[in-house]
Parts: sequence; structure tokens; C-alpha cells
Amino acid sequence: MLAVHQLSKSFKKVTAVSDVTFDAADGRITGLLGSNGAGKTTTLRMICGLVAPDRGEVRVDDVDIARDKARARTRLGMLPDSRGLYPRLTGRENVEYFGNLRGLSSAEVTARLDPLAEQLDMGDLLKRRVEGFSQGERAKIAISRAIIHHPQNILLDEPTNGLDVMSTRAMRTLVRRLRDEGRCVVFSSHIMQEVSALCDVIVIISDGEVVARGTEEELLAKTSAASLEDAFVALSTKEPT
Amino acid sequence: MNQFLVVFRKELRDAMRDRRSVLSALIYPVLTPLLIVIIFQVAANELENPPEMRLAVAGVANAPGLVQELRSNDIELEEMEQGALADAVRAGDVPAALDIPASYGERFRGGWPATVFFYEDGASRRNRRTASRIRRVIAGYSGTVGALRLVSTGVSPAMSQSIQMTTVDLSSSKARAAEVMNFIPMLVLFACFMSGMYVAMDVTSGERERGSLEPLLLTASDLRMLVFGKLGAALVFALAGSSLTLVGCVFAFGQLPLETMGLSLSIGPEVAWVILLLMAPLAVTATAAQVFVATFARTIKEAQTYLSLFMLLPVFPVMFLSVKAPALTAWMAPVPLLGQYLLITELMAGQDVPWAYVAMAGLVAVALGLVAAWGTIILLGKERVIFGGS
Repeated sequence: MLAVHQLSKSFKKVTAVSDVTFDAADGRITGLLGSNGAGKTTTLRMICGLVAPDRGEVRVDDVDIARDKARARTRLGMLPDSRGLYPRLTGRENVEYFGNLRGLSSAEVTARLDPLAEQLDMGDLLKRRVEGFSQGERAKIAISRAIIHHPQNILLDEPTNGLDVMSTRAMRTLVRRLRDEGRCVVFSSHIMQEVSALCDVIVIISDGEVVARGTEEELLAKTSAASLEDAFVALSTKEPT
Repeated sequence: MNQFLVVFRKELRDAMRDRRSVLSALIYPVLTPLLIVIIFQVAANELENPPEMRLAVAGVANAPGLVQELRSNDIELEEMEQGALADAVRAGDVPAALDIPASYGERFRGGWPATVFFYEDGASRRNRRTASRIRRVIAGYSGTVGALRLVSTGVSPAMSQSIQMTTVDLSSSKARAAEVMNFIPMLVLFACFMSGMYVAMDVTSGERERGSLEPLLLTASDLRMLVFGKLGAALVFALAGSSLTLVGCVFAFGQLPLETMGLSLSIGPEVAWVILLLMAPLAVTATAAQVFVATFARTIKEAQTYLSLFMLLPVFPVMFLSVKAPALTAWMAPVPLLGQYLLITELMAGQDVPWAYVAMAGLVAVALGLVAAWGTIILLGKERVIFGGS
């Protein structure tokens, strides 16, 4: 469970995130929906403690990340914006490295990786060196290494970016499975269909502020719009009062 | 498993698969002995070929006495047209040339100073030495004839000389050879800087370039363990390169006929160990500094730019020494690079060095390395570094 309370962050004179507040419950997929540059990535970086907020608080399963970053991070898994893998290592070695850093033995990593490889249809990806992998193949390795320690809370920054149809489907199935296991999944995206298809709760961010949150039905009802896209446009262009 | 070991093992495996990293650690140990052999050839040339005593002369018939004197001083004469003299010297065909005009005989017999023209190329170091020897022979002849003239008029030749100066040339061929060999300790020290450099760049700026730094930091790893693990892997390469370079040097020196050349500079197996003891801590400083500097760079290319400037460092002691050659004193031993350079020079010259100096040099070098590592740990906590990637 994640609780984000009044987070604010400015870079020099630009306000990236202002007063962002939302909860993300266990067993739910919470979607952060916003245009490019709306502040989604900065918010996610503050949640996992890589960027220190100017104001506000983040609690990961009731652990304040500012107080005990190490403990909070063991309960977090994040697929960040940059998917950098190590090209000279094989897929398995890439995942194993992060697993080992998280304190898992190599045997434990293998035990967890094999079912994941099947779910994501990774085939021989684990045996090959990452050099020359396609975007989709890279994404599969990157997500595996982000959740290899079975974190309760999972942050995914635009996880389907650059993926083809098959990879996107595999990724969605995985995200749903993680939710069904009772984990708290936060999913950022600027793609309406994606958020609409996956998310139980939607938080719309515009210009660094939360302009609306609720289920898709609630958002549609609130704006009397026919689609999530119309609702999004109506909400994110409305002047804050 | 300990995070340090996890990082260390991964970076080592990663680097072993990187052709550039492995090549740069291996190429230097091969290159250094080769360079030593080349430097040795240059030094041997200095020793084996004394200056060539050859002189082009125009108008030999005009001055039989002077020509006789030159010949009796083992100067090989080569007759030439007067107009060709200057060009022959300029082209380097002869080290020097002498033009004896037709008026020489008449003026000589009349007791007037007889004019001759001497051509030399002052820019050529070798020929300068030949020319100055020949000039001394001519001046000596002039002095002898002058003295005889005074005697014939009943005046003591000593009257005409208020000062008699005798020049003693102390520059031995051996000293010149040693001067050339002075580059060798610096070459050896370069190994500390070269061998681990690629790994140092790959584990820092490479991590930023690939965009893998952010996910790595998200693993909740201890930054100290990350930095020391990375540093350790780069250090393995630096130490392997340094050790192999020393092995190569011992081998190269073993092949060279040093004794017959009278050269005393050498790296034998008995001092190689001490030299490695001096180089290992310096490798810590060099690698830690490279890791620190490369962390500022967003790409490996950028890091290469910074580090190629950094590579100029080993040259400084030699530049300092070419201005002023100091004897090794206590304060110099702990100065990084300078201390190692002077200590290795002493060791190569077959002299004993105080163990305290070796220890001081090592302690300071390791301490500096730790400072650089600490700086890297601080850098990796900065948002500018984590997200400033490409």
C-alpha cells in the first residue's frame, strides 16, 4: 500500500509536481494518467526515494521513505523510465545481479525466474546476451529484474512504451496477475486505452497537479463524457479554481 | 551474499567480456618492454658511435701545415669545391666544412692573421660535438704557430697569454645514455594508469550511458558497497596490467647486454617485487581517481576526454626532474607519482631504498584513493548524476 501526501518538487524555477496526494491500495492497479511532462515520472521517482521532495510525504506500507529508505525500498519494485540493461550479460545474469543485490541467492533467483519466464514467454532470452535484444525483449528482462524480490508495491513507468502487440499483451497479463496476488501496482501512462483496460483506479495528473481521481465510471460520470479520453481532456484543460 | 562481492563479481565478469577493457590491460604490458628495447637502442647508439670526425675542405693546397695538423688529429678530410661546402653541411653529408681561401698562404707567411671559413650546423646535436672538436684543433694549431713566431722574435710566448684556460669535457657517453634511460621508470608507472582505465569508465559513465544507473540504485544497495565493488573490479585490471608490465620489463632487461654497455639501470626479478609494492598503492590512487572523474561523465566518450587529460599526470615528475634533478629526500617519497618515480629510479640504479619511504608512498597513495572513492559515493547520491544520463 502506498500513501502519497502533498508531494511537491521544483527544479530551479519550474514546478514539476505540486501538492500531489493519492493512495494506492493493495490488490488494485492504480493508473497515473497524464500527458508527457505532466509530472508522472518525477512523482514515481519521489515515491521510491531517488528524488527528495521539497515538501510532502511518501509512506510505503506505513514506512516513511524519507526516514527509512532502505526498508521502504525492499517493499518496492520499480520499472523506471530508463530500462538500461548490461549488454554483455545474458538475460539471466542481468536478473540474477539485481536479485543478488536484493539479498537473494542465485538458486532463489532461478526458482523465481523460471515461472516468470514462462508467463512472459521469454524463451531463450535468459540464455542469450542482452546485446541486440529488441525493445520488447529488453522490457521483459527489465520487468523481471524489477520484481524478482517479490515486492508488495510495484511501480511501472510507462511499461508498454515501444512494445509490440504481443509484448503489450504479455505485460498486461503480468500486471493483472500481480494485482490478483494482492500486490499494489501503480502504473503510469499517457495512453488512454491502456489505462482504461487495466486500471481499477485512475489518478489524472496535469501540470504537476492531481486534477481528478476515481474509477473510470466515476470520472465519466463526473464529466458526463462518453470516453475516458474526453473526460481526460475536459479535466486536464479545466482551469484550476 | 555480500553486496560488495555481488558487485565485484558482476563487474569483473562484465569487464572480462569487454574486448576494449581486456585489450587495454594487455596491450601495455606488451608495449612497454618493446619501448624499453627501443629506448635502449637509442642509448646504445650514443655509446657505440662516437662523433664522426669528418671534415669537408676546399683549398687543401693553400694550407699544407694546417691540413697536416688536422690529419694528425685523426680527422678524415674530404676535398670539395668551395661552393659546395655550405650545402653539404646543410644537407648533413658532412658534420662540418672548412674553406681555406687562396689568400691564406700569403697572409700566413707574412705573419698576418690568415682567414679561414668554418661551416657547421648548430641545430644538429651530434654534429655540434664534431664541429667543436675540430674548432679546438684549429685553434690549437693557431696558438702553436703564434707561439713559435713570438719565440723567433725573442719574445716569450707566455707574455701573450694572460689566462690559459683548459676545458675538460665531462659529458661521458654513459651519462648521456642514462639520460635517455630516465624515461623508463615513467613508462613503467604508466601501467598503473592505463590498465584499469577502460573498466573504470565502463562501471561509471558506462552505467550512465546505458541508463542502468537508476535501476541499479533502486535495488536499495549500499552506495559504499557499489563503489567499492566497482573500484575493486577496475583495480584487478590495473594490478594485472601493472604486474604483467613488470614481468615484461624483467624479461626485456634480461635480454639486453647491459653489462657490456656499462649501463647500470635495470629491473631484475629481485627489485621487481619492490617496484610492484610501490605501484600497487599508486594503482589504487589512479583507479579511484579515474572512477571519480568518469562518474562526472554522461557517456564513455565524455569520460575518455576527461581521462586523457588525467593521463598527463605521470609525465609531470619527469618534467619537474628535467628542470631540476633532486636527490630523493624524505618529503618527496610520499608525494604521489614523484615519490614512486624517484624510488623506482633508485631501485633501477641498483640502490637500496629505505622501507619507510616505500611505506610512506604507499600509505599516502591508498589514503588518496579512499578520498576519491568517498567523493564517488557522494556523487552517486546526487540527482544530477543519477538522472543526468543520455
